[in-house]
Amino acid sequence: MNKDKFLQTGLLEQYVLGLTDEEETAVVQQYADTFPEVQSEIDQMREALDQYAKQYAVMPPEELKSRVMQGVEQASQRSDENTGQPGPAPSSGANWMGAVLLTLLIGASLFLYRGKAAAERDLASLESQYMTFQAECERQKAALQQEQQVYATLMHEATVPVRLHPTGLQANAKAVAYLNGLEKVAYINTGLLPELPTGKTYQLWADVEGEMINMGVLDKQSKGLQAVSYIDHAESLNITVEPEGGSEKPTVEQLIVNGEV
Amino acid sequence: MAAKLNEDKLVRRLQAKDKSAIEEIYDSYAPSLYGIALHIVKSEAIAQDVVQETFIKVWKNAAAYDTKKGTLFTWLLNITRNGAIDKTRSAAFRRRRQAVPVDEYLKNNHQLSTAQNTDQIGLRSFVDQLEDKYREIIELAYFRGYTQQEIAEHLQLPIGTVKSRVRIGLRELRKIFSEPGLTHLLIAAFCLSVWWFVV
Repeated sequence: MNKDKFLQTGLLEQYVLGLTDEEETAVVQQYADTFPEVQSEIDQMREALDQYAKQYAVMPPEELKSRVMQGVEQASQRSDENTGQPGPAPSSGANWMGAVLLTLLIGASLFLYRGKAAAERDLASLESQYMTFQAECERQKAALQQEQQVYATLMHEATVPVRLHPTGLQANAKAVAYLNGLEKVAYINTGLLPELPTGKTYQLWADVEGEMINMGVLDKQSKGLQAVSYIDHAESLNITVEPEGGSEKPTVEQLIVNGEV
Repeated sequence: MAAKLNEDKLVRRLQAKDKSAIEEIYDSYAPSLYGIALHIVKSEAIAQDVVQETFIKVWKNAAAYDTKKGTLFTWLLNITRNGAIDKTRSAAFRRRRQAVPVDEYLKNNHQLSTAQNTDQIGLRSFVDQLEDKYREIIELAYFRGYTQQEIAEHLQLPIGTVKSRVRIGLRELRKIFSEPGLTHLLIAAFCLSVWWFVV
């Protein structure tokens, strides 16, 4: 639409009276921006309406001026407060806060990291200690089971003790064996045998119808009961001193103790 | 042109948050704005509130005012007009209006119209030249914020008639306030004052 035709539509008059809707208002403003004549028409109509409005002018009461100035004063104080808050000072305060916060975070991270490393070391040490302790427990348990087994055997009604007495080579040498023919187990207490020089060991033999049968080399370290092979129909038990590792036949000259079964 | 330059200066001072500028604006325009508020809300107390709120808005939103988009007075007038129309639409206002008996309301209205600023009386009589059928449409649209549809319903007229009366009414108003019209008015006022001085 050309501007002359547009001026005839009456839209401008509606516009200055505030009667146009959003779309119409946008159209009018577009024309006003494009054509100075349209803007000039609007200005003249507004001027006429201003004059029309001025006919209602009434002197306000005098106190209204001081009320208005007071209101403005308060509004400007409020706006000063409002604009003061997001100003540069609080923002630098926020930066300062940010820096402190960052430092704290880094510090806390380092502290926690060190704590974690220490905890990991402690954990590794505890794990190792626990493993040792567990192994010790297992060992103790196995030992206990063995002891219980030995004790059960000793208390068994079929177990018979055999006292071995000195033959004269060593006056104070003694030993006690326990034989159980039912379960075919044998134990001997070597704690009462004298110490041997290096390269020598005690060996136990069973005399079965005049033949000496090996029941085992005795452990020099063991101070209590130790298990040995059970031999059926043994008539007597004999301990000889033999070279380290034991012998196939007993060295009869070195018979230390013996006892009848 | 000189007036326009002064106004620009005044606006710049206002936008620079110079409180003396708002005082100057008050001195120049308060009677017109108060009168318009009073014309719309019909209550001196509410009209005073409207004027106070207008100046606070002017102070706060000075930066938003563009001198190219219209005169300072047009801007002030629009803020006052909208503020006053908003008051008439509030529930509190309607309750208050209902509480005032019709006779008293009319009497108040009469008192208000006789309390017009004497400086404007000549102008007012001049405006009275505008035919009632155009006046009422301008009044409803401009001072009560009615839409064209609401005006049509209120006056029981077809919307086309409302539109043509808006157009002709504005044209008539412009004629009244056109340069020769104002010159006549000024000459009449001058003659009147000379006559008053002589007598």
